[in-house]
Amino acid sequence: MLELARVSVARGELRVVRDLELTVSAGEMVALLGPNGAGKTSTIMAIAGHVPVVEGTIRFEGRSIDTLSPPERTRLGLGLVPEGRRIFPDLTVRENLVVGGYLLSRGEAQKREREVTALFPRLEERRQQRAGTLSGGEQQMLSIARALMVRPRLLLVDELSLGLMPAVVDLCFEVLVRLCREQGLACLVVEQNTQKILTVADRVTVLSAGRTVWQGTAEEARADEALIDRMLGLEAG
Amino acid sequence: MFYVELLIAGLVQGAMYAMMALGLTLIYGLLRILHIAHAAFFTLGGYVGVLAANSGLPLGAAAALGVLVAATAGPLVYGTVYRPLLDKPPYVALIASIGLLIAMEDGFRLLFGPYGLSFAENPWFVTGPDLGGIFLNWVQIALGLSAVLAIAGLGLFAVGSRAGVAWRATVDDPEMAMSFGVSPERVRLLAFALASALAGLAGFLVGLLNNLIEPGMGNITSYKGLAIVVLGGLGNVPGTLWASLLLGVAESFGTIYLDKILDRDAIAFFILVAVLMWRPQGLARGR
Ligand SMILES: Nc1ncnc2c1ncn2[C@@H]1O[C@H](COP(=O)(O)OP(=O)(O)O)[C@@H](O)[C@H]1O
Ligand SMILES: [Mg+2]
Repeated sequence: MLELARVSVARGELRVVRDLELTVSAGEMVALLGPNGAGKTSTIMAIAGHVPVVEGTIRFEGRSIDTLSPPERTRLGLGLVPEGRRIFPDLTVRENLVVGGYLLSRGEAQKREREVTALFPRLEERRQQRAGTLSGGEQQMLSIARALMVRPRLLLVDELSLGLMPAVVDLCFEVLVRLCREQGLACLVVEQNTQKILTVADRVTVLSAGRTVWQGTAEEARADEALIDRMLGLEAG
Repeated sequence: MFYVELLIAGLVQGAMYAMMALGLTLIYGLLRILHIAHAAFFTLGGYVGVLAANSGLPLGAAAALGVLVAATAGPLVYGTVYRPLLDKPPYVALIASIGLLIAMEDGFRLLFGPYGLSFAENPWFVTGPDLGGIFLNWVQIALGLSAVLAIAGLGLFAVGSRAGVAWRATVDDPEMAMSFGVSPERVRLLAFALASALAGLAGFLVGLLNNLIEPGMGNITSYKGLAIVVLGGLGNVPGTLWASLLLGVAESFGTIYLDKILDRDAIAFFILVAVLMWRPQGLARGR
């Protein structure tokens, strides 16, 4: 579904990711791990079309998407749950979902709105509340729900658990895993919480300073936690 | 009765300020540009209106024409002057805006002469309904009504339509809004069209009220508009509306009580300085 072939990503003049090889298949959850500054967010934003790829190719369902703008990628079926959630704070929960479904017809958007809020009953209760006044966990649910509006086939999720209570993190991952299993959604997930992600992901890629330093299945990673810990140990805290 | 009349006159003046300041605050919210040249669209609406009226068009049609021309010129100016400067530091656009105001003002002076134009006939100014002892002319009624309709219309649009929601999302986070298919460019063009239309209408009505359209007529209003958007919190729409009405009423009463000390037009800046000394962030929080 998603294939990155020798991809290098630049921030300004600087190459922050080099020669990344990565695939995500339908129904699969792939974790992208690594210390702060490793280039995880840059990778996610490059796939979503917000940061330029300077070398290599990104393919989605067999076709190269390198020249497509972010909304064109959304239309193709890429959903983004960005770092810091980036919900629209002055809009209500419902209005955030309206923007999420902006590419859909009005009727289709209304139908999707009911479907995605059914995944997160908390959002249903807070439909008319200003998103900026939601708790961190609710904002994260909203960010996921907003990305799901267009029925993406690939979801890019950056730092889902940051600053959230474990129960909320569990709930969000439960929803994502269910969508992977039941609807064949592909997920590429950046996560600092290694413990959690290794129990839900299928495969793992570890970046450090823009280079791929380890790739394997989550099972292998769990068996060799010392390895992963050593790599993430570069990170403070 | 005297105080009621003062209050109403103040509210009408405040409505006019609101029509100007609303555009400034909407544009600031989207682009972080203080659109000083907004005043030139006020004047543009006045000139187009007076020329149309004096060539025989009914006042209503002349007003509509002024609004239409202003609404077309606004997006054009955005596209030619501001768009190329969006990735430059904000002061670049600010300087461009000041330059544009001066250029447009001198343009009016060259085209229509320095002394200004008056309406050959000004029936809206000399007639009006008697509202239980309070006399308002039709221009004042039109100012108040236009402001109320514009504000209500914008409010409905902002919360009740997909395009309005997309606009507010663009103010919050343009990059994210764009990734969901909202075109920030279209939102900006629409903002300039609406803001300039309101300014053009305000200019036409103020022209009727003073029976004079002159090249520099937008200046005072523009300075006051800036004072209002700072008081109301830059980019804060409800704050801007309250500050507009407040200033209109303060000026209205000020002309009676502060007449000896302060010029009417100085009141806005006196309030601005006083409020900023007390609350540097303005009366309401900005963006
Ligand atoms: N907007 C930006 N402009 C310039 N450099 C950036 C920007 N964002 C991140 N970087 C740099 O890119 C590198 C990778 O950052 P990032 O992708 O955010 O890593 P991670 O998400 O793994 O913490 C870092 O060296 C960071 O300083
Ligand atoms: Mg990051």
